[in-house]
Amino acid sequence: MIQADRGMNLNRQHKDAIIGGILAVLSCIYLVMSFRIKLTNIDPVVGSRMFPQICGTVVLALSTWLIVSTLRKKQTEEVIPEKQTSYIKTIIVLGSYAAYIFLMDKLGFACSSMIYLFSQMLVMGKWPAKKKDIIVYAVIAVTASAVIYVLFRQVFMLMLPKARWF
Amino acid sequence: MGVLEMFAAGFSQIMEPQILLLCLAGVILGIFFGASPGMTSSMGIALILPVTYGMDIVHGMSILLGIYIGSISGGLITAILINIPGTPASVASTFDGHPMAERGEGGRAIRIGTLYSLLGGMISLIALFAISPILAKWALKFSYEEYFAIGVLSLTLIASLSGKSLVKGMLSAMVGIIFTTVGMAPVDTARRFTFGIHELDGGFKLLPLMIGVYAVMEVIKAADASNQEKMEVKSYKSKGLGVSWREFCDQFKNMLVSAGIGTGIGILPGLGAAVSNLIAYSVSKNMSKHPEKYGTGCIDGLIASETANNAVSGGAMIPLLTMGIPGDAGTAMLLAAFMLHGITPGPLLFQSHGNVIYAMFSILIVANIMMFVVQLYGLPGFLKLLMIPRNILLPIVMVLASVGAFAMNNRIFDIWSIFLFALIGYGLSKFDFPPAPIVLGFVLGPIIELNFRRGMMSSYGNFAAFFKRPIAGTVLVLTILLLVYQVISGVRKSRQKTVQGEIQ
Repeated sequence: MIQADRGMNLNRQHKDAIIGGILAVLSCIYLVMSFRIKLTNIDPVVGSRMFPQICGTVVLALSTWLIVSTLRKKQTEEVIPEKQTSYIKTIIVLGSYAAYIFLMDKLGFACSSMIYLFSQMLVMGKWPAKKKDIIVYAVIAVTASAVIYVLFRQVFMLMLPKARWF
Repeated sequence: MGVLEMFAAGFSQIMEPQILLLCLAGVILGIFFGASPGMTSSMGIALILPVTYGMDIVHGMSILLGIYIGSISGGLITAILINIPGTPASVASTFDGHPMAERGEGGRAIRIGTLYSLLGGMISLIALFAISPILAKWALKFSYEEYFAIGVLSLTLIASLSGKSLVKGMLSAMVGIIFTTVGMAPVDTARRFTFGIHELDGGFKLLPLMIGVYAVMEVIKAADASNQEKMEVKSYKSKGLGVSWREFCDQFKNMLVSAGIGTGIGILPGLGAAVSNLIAYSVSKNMSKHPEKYGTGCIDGLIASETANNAVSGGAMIPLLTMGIPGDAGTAMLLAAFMLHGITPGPLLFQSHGNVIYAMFSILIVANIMMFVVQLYGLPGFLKLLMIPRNILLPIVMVLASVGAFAMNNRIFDIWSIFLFALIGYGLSKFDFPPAPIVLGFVLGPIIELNFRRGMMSSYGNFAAFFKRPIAGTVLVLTILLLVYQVISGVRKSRQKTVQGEIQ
């Protein structure tokens, strides 16, 4: 049991070291890119480079601190059990949201929202879905898209994405 | 014009059926958002903000402040009846509220919680009315150096107090700041990190960031949870206010202390209602003559928690209105709302838009009263709304979030920004990075950079000049001391844990 706990703890420590490493690399790239910012004569004292360079340096220092302090920690520290998560669902939710944004630009707000709402309700609901549930999801997808469209376009007079493919 | 006359002018501005209806709608939405686990006030304000684009500032603020007030109190419904706090602000309300519900006093617990939510909110509003005009007058003397110093102190407080780890909190805040460096630089408008992408010239906007980090990330988290807990609602039928006159008198000191804690925590950036209810609960328990009753369903703990979390609302408005610095994510949203309507909060606001300020004060009073009435009498309706399946509700939230971001500038790019920030927020949350410092770093970054550059220009590049000004110097020294203290206490805790582990 202790061995298992230690294994889980080590995993957590590794996670901190990994994110520290990622942030350190990203801050280095950010710092290098900050030297490409063109300087103007308007503010010769500080210039537009200094603030990003300070920020980049602080992130690099903090991420190094995170890596070093994580690696120096002994395995006897707190043990927090991992929560049960369904990453497949998360990837589907993120992927379908990206597809929704892409389709919104091509099909317009109403069509893309109907497709997105229906597919998302189906994915996030119980599987396999009953015939009755599928009908309910379809009706809600069409009604919600129509209500949001009318509300924002006609009542609040706001612009919504238009179809490019039609 | 005296204070009473200003209040009369404020109330006369908001006593329109349309404004009152908007405020009522905001309160109802706020209670719903507060009561729904996984949906927060920040999310509610972010979703409704686009609806206010076409309204004037008073109409817009009436619905947004309604959501802000309603959502803090709404969390108590699920905390008491289901034992799941709707928001982190109601965690301590589960300690005594749910045991009360289990012995059949759920309705009484909700009535007591609602009454003390109102009283906590009102007491903090008195502090807001009393302190903010004085602080605004004082803040008029502030120059670049002072704004820079206060910005840095606020960021340090937020970063060090909002999460478990100081390093992670500070890294979160720095991620927020780094995104503000994309686009045109302040002072000389030099292009930074735009990579030739035209849409990046204007930089990232606050609303997509807030929607991405709060609204969309919550939806992803909900999808993450493989097993949803079944909601079992306890009986909630009751009459009256829940407390007798004698009980009210007995709890008077507890109420005042908790309201003081809530207001004080609200003024400090970074802590907010999520912490105030827990601190007030433990202070109340320590002060009590019968601490053993806490956690068994005694009203003292419930009163402390609900008074303190609502008292945060008035306190958090003080730095927002007087210095333009938001205290928590909810007030950061309100700051975004002000800016979208062309108003910059700060000391000049009391002079240039005094009518708006007093209209807002009046809306806050009305919203608190509406929250009390709606929550007391609309409980069955809210419980029915809470039963809407998550797989139907959350995709609709995603669609509304996307519409809101698009409507701001009519650009699909802003919806892609939501996606980007949701990915970053979700990724960082998986590594236990707190989300609030990302948003507040994004808000405070431009304030810090602009005032740093102006201060440096006025002192010909001499940073020591920042320490020569009394207020700026004091605040900067305080920030350094706070950082040193946090680092030392972090190292001590780590050593203690190691020693304890070795003993075990």
